[in-house]
Amino acid sequence: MAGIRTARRYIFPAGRFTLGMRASRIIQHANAYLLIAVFLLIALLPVFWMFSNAFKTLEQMRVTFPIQWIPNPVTLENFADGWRARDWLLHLRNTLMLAVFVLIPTMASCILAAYAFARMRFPGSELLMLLNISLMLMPDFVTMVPRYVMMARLGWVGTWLPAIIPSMLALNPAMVFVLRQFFRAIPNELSEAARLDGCNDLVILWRVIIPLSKPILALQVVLITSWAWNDLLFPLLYLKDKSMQTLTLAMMGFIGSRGDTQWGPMMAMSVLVSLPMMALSYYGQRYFTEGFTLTGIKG
Amino acid sequence: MTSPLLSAPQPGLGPAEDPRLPNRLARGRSFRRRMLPFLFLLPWFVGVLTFQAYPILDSFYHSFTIYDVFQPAKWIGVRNYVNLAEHDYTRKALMNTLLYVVVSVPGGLVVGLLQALLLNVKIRGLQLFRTLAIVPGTVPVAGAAAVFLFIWSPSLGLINSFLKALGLPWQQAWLTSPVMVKWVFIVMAIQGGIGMLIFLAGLQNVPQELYDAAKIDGAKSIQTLFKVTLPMLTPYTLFNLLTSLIGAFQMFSGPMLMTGGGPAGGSMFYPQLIYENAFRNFRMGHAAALSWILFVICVVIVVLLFRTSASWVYYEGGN
Repeated sequence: MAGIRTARRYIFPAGRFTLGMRASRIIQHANAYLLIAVFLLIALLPVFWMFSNAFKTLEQMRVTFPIQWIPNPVTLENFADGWRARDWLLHLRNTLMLAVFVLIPTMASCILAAYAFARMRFPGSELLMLLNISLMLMPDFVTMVPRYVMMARLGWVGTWLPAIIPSMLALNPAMVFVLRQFFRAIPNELSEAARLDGCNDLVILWRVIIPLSKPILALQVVLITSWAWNDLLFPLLYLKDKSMQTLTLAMMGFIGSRGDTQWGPMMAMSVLVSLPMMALSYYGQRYFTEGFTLTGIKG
Repeated sequence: MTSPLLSAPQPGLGPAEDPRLPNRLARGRSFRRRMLPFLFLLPWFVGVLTFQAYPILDSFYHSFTIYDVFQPAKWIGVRNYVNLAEHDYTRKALMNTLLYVVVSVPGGLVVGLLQALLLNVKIRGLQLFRTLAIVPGTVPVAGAAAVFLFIWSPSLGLINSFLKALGLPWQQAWLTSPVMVKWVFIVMAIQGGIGMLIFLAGLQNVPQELYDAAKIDGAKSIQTLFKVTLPMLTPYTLFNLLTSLIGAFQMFSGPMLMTGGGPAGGSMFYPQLIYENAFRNFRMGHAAALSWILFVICVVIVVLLFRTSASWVYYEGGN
């Protein structure tokens, strides 16, 4: 045996030898690879199918065996057709506007509240935090109707105010909680040093806490943007006018207006709507893991 | 002063050892400093009162009235609740939602856990697999709705084509069958999603010593799974259970985009029922009653889970 091993070391140079090691590792974990492959195939099939069919003509879409996974020939007609159907750039602008209008005031007010919860001592803080945590678990649908009536009375339906005004009031208990967890983990020494230098709480918040919280704040940017990209209820209630519709609402009309023969343009527009979010999530992935492990859910 | 750093002098931290400094600061700004937290929390307070507490009380009141926004509300006692209990459509939506909760929440948890366990095996290419596993969850709901309409479609759909190719007689118009359509949504909801990521984060936090100790004691891998991994994951399981339960009661966009609740209420789920009552039929009283039932359901779930959690959730370091 030893002889064979030595011989192999002479025959195979170092590179080849590690390749052999790698191969044996792969065999050792064959079960894991097989299961992962099966699960990834199932999970990714719809996504792949969307991309694949966006480039197919209607005749190519009829499923024949073997299945035409990669379209041949490729057509771009679906994209042109789908693009013409609506003013997608307007809907994109509305989506981004919604994201910004919600993001900036929410972040400002939630940072203030989270700082108070994390770094200040006041009577009832534990109880109020418990209230905040219970609000995290309350479905939007519980308060939807009275909120809408309130907005309608104020004449705000069909304006951007229902997005902006509630956002100024820290109406995102999950964000308050997550930021509070993160702020609490920042060492006290840093802010106390700043305090002794004569900084007040706002300066400490701005100069010490916020710069150290960039990962968790980036995560909130990703989360709110993807909310604006995905949410249907809010635009359905408040941004119904054609000039204010977000991408999701526009897609709803687009899907509804298309019959059975229009799958191509539908897949093409799905690809276009999905790509930016997929890219953003890829970028936000590390913030998610980072933010999650740092804030924890073990309380 | 708030910080233990200042009250308990520590060696090596110069300024904190000077007793006059914190005192002067504390006295000079005493009142302002005491009010400051409430100033910071002012937006939050106003938000909770106007957009959380008031709506809940308001819908409690309106659930006992006939109300269509245009005319003042009229008190009718518990008739809304009685009507809802007798109404066929409501019962159907409630049953659909309960079925969805009972099947897809545990299903999603198990699938998410299995995926996380798989993606925790130390193998080559793990990072790539993890990234790929996240991809389906990043597709926006509008895109996903369009694709799944296509996949379940009767003539060109992937599902029916596969069934046909395999010679199975189960091909049908999935989304236009009042019986099948809810199952389509239930099956589609059984996926790891964000729960998988949370389990994965939890798996990173299981101390290696426990696995080593189990190995030394001669535990089989299945024993290690049930005696070490799963108990250590219970805080994450509780979190996932809470969020997915509450999430299941809020399922709205998918059916709204794909079927609009049809056919014949076959894919009508609870949130859409509230929406339809309030904004299609302007029966705000009904909608308010439904909202309140949902509120009570969620409170019961949360209280039950937290009450029982002491007996099945393992927190490291006692507690």
